[in-house]
Amino acid sequence: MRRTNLTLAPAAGAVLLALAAPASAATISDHASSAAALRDIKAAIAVITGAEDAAASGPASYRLAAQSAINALVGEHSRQFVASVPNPGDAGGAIGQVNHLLDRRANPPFVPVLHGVLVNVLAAVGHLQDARKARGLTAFEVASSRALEDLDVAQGRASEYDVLGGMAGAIANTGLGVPAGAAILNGCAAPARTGYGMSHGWLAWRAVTLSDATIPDAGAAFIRKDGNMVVFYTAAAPMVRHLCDTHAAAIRPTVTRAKPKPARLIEVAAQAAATKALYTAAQAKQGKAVYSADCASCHGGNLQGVAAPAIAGKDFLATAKKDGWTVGVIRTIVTQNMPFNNPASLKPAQYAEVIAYLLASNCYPAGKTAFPEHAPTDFATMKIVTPAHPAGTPNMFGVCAVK
Amino acid sequence: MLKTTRSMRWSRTALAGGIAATALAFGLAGSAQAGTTANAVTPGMKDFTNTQGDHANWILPAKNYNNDRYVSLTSISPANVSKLKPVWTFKISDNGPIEAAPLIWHGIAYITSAHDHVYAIDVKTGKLKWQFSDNPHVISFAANRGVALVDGNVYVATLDGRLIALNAETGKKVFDKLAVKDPTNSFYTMAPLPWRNPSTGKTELLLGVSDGDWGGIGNIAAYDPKTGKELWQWNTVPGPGKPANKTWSGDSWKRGGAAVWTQMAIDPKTGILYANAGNPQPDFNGPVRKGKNLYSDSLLALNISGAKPKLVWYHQFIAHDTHDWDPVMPPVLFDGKVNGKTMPLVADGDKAGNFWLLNSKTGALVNHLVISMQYHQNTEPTLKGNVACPNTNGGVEFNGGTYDPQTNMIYLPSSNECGFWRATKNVVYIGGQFYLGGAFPKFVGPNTGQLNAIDVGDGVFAWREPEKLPMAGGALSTASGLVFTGMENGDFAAFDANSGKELWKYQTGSPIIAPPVAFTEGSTEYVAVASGPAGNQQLPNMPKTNAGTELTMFAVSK
Repeated sequence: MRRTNLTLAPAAGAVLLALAAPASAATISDHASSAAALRDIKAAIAVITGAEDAAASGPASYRLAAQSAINALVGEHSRQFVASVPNPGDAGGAIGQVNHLLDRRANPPFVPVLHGVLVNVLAAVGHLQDARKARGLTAFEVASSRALEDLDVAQGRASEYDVLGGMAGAIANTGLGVPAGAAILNGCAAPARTGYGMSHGWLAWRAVTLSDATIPDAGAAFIRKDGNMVVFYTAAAPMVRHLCDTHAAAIRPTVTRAKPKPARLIEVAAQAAATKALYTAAQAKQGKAVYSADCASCHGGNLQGVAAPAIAGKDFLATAKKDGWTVGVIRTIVTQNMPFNNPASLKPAQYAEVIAYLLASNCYPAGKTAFPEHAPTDFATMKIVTPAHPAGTPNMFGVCAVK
Repeated sequence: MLKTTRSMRWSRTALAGGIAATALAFGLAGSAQAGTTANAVTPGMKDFTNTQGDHANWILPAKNYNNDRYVSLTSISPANVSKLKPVWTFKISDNGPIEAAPLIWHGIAYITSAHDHVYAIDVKTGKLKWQFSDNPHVISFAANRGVALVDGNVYVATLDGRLIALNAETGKKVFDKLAVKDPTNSFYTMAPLPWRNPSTGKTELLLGVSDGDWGGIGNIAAYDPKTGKELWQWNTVPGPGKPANKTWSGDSWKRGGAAVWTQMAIDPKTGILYANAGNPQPDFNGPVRKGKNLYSDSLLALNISGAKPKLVWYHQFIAHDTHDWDPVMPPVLFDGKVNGKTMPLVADGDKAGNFWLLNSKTGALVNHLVISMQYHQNTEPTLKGNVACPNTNGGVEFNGGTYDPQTNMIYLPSSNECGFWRATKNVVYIGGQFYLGGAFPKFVGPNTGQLNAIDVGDGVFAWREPEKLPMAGGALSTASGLVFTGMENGDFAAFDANSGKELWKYQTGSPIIAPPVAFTEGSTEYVAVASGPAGNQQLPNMPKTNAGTELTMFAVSK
């Protein structure tokens, strides 16, 4: 682990002094370190969830997995590192990388966030030590799920609109997100050319040419087209604007900032605000057949329920909102408990198809990526919502027809 | 006036029918009783004191407070039952599994459908008088097991936890009140049970909550029928400080289940309520709730004659259940002869396939019979999964059976089903979703049933009539020596109470999981039963389509 003190970030220090001036990005190593820390946390999560999926293979395998996850988090220089067990992370480990980022006299805005990341990673390591010594599967599950909970917070959560907290949040909203050599522009002003708009250590926007834009973009709170550019505004953008206005008024009251050109809300922006596409149209079509054969007798041809509850439309979505159901919850219920009289009897592909059909019936848009047979971790935080832009015309029950 | 005439007419029928002397006395008392409230649109509390003798009406879900589902009627007999024919069939527009028997009051049948719709139907013509369509939010599955009929109102407790009062004459709402504490996971499936509390002289509506399997804890509550206001609530999983709380490891009692699903019995003489508390939660994951888990899977005797209920005794049938094998048979209270001695008894049955006979005063075990196929009952579900019998739909189901005082026998349908159980690694509470720690079992092997005749006198089967499908239709016995029950293949059938011989059947076109009722209207004895989709009782080998949801009224053709 490199514990150099020299990256005390003159740039970040300058941010505090040069209030309305364009700020520079964090140093090259800052960006690389933060990305590495996030990779290490993700690697640890992957190892633990992998072990949970294959838990039946015995205690040796999950104890090994717990140590593997610890390795990725603590790094090679830690006493908790065990060299005989594979390390899915890098040499520094998440803790090493975060320590490196925090090892400075300056106080850039990502510091408090990284303290949170550090605390949660340390807590996760503690639970993983318990998991490593677990005497039975249940004890392992309890300890590892606690570790996962902490790592989820350390990693940060991606919603449909924002990246919230954790390492991912820090990368999305601060100088940690600016790669080495990228053009740093004044985040207080509207983007005049492509580059990273920064102010006060925060990343306000990222402007790219239309051809370079990939949509949806993780980390973008909203998207605008501005001439030949697409501008991805971060969740921090409104705050940056506020800071710029306040400080500009206090220090340089006469300065007239260039008025942002009236931005035209274009289709990409609407798409970003819309419900994420989670399945393909082909899957939903297949799922309709699965539903008719295995689900309709209880949930009804119109999905409003005969013996079982409604599973699409207004009543269902209202309950989902009230009870905070996520895509992960629905997936768990469907794959573990359904069909009611023959649970877990369908093939993984059929379950994915029937969930695709449910999403389609709830007017979620179809996309290019198939609904997965194995759940990614972000399903656990992805709330079931009434789509702001229904992909189809809902009927009287609020259900979209699937053709 | 017209209604007075009617009830007098049935008392003549009772005389003509030549009923036993005690039944006759009841009959006369019944007619006098009916006379006092004959013009009322519903029974008053006085009418509940002689339900057995009141042949023109059927005002409690299982006929009487003792849940015996026995009528001292003889017009339909083994000799003429072959001539039993449908008089009319009423199509219930709210299609779904129907588990309720109609209540009958002076020529009007009140029946609830799966989604809490209430239909008031003329028993002679089968014409709709009024219909109440509620369509509540369904938390888990659609079932309604009946209404209460008292003091001018029809009361229905709903799938989203409300208590609704309807004007019995018009079907218009009188009040609609949220009654459960946590509507995320609690709801009602049972019929409110009206009774008069002797300490206050006031009518109370008793209800058990359905929240087991969804992460709540069970309770029984009493409500004021005038306002819907809660008068008391008694939790089936006691909080810290109570001895029973120590039968749960850690905080597991907080989502311990023991819901009160099924029709309760009352002994009006003693003011004791007999209620079944359901299975513990999470259903299939035992390690997270070590201990006996009281009062789950128990029959409770509660003295409810004071301001607050007091536990008189409890009898736990299965300690630390890990298979959702709760007692769901409406307990049947009766005085029966055991080995020649008359005893106060209460009969119960559970989904594990056990029949239980207890002393109703003390809760002591009198008799236990295995009534369905049992296998591997002491093995908890594992992560890899294992087979046990019955599965959660087997054993003795929600509509229980009937006690015939003439034969001193319990007639009780039961099911043989096996299941493959699997526990899950984690148990997480999610509001409004199952809290199982596993999944409901898959079916394994054949699914069959039988109608059992249990001789209370010597404690063994008098006869057992095997059926090709599981049986969940309850049973009705009559003084003429007939036992009626509905089958999951759609047959409604009558058996000889002494021999078990099937004497008559009629194919309704849809599975029957609702119990039958019998009563007189004018000089005619009627039998009625509802049929519809099988709901949770649906089996892989049952047809996926059926004739829909119907109420059929039968009488002997002249």
